[in-house]
Amino acid sequence: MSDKLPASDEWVSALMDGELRGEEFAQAVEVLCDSPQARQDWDTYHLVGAALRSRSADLRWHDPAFMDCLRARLADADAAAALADAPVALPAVQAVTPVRVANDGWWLRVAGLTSVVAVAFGLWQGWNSLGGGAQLGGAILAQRSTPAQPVASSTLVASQQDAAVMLRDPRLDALLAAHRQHGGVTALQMPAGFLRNATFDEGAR
Amino acid sequence: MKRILSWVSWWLIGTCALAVQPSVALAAEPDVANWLMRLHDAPRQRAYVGTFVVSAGNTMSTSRIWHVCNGSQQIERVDALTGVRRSTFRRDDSVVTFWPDSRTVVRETRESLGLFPNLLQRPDANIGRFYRLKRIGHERVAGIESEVVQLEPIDALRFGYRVWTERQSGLVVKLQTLGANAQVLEQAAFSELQFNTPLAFHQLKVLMENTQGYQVHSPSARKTTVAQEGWALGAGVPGFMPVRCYRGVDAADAGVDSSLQCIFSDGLASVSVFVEPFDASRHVRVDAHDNLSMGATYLRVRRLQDWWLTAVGEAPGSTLTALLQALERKK
Repeated sequence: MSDKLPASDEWVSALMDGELRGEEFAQAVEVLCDSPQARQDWDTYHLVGAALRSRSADLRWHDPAFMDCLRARLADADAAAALADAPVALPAVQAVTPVRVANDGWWLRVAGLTSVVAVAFGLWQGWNSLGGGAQLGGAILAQRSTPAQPVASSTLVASQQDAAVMLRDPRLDALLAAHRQHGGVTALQMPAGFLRNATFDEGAR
Repeated sequence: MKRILSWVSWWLIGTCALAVQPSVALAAEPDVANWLMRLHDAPRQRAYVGTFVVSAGNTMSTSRIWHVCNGSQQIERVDALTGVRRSTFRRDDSVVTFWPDSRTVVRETRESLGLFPNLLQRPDANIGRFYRLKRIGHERVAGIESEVVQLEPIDALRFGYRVWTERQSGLVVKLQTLGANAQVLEQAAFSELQFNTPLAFHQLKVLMENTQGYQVHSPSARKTTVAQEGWALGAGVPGFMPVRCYRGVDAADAGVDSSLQCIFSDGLASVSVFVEPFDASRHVRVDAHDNLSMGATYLRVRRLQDWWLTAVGEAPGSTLTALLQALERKK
């Protein structure tokens, strides 16, 4: 290595290529921490690498302002907050800046074709199941009243004489959910009953 | 003189027997009530973080729970770890459920959560009449030393319960619902539990109120009564009293929003009866003879003239059928 200090982009390039060890590695990380230009180079190299490796239409680079804000917030957070701050209500803030790449059209065409194939397969499956008529003694297996309704996960067991069949019905699931929501009026409701009802898998909304 | 002494001694024995008899009867009832009150007060005393597992029928659901109290109020967060992602926050009787995948929040007030302990103090409170409290012993659950108690029903119209409570506070750490012959129908328990975590009340409160980026729904339900809706309850089931009736319960997307929901309870078990206009295209799938169940939750249906009645609850199928048979149309 020459006596002249390398430029920041050379440090970053060497760091990304895994060429630095020991003292040089530590120096490169220091440069990266101190120099905004070095951090931008770091992002740019990653973006170029990602563009070469994938054909994603949605490559993005980091928003420096967001990253600064995130670092400050992380520094403030304590251990107790970390227990409870798994993201529930994520603010509608885009953390990254979108960059469009040249292969948009190609990706959209593939996505469109894949969607058509998926829909056709779904229709074919649906037609088969309708023809099969999975009905057993008044109980209906895997019945869905509307295609838009997500699969509810509650499974009732229907016992008829000696036979037992599994029954899944969105409407019955809705009644079960309404019962859990308003019907838990028992002395055991608090706290075990509420936790039980909140833990039950009620399917999607 | 002997005869007088004999008469006096028999009179004294009789008086004592009469005096003892009511005190025995009174002693049994408050025992259940006191035990339940302690169970109810426990979450106000202790903060905890734990993992909760519910096993019912062929399903098992798990959630992560954070619970904080500040003496008078309590707040908790329940993150479902099974199935669709959702977080449920409860601050006393206010409940907010976040559905991150659909960016939806359901905000509601559950009056049922505030009903207890008023339910115990009602003149017709009869938990002590229909359940016997039996102490079983001690066991360790999730590393916690706990007392085991069984609530045995006096008849076959209700299920029994086995309850594990933390010895110091009375917090429920495990609960089993028992069918005939003490068969376990459903159980819920902490698999891991830590007390006195450094969580602060306001931290959960901030998360509960932060609905930015979500579409907020507040389902509205109008309170009503069985009689107002043109129905009457006949002989019914011993111990099961009407507690609440709602019209317009927005429970889900499957067409129950306009139905009438009436809730009956004996204090420990509860049954919802849904009343809807009969619709041949939807209601013939389940037959009145079908014995539908999931864990301790049973379901029965009945067609009555132009109405379709569905009973759902944590009670034997025969109890649900009896409640459906007891409903009569008056208008």
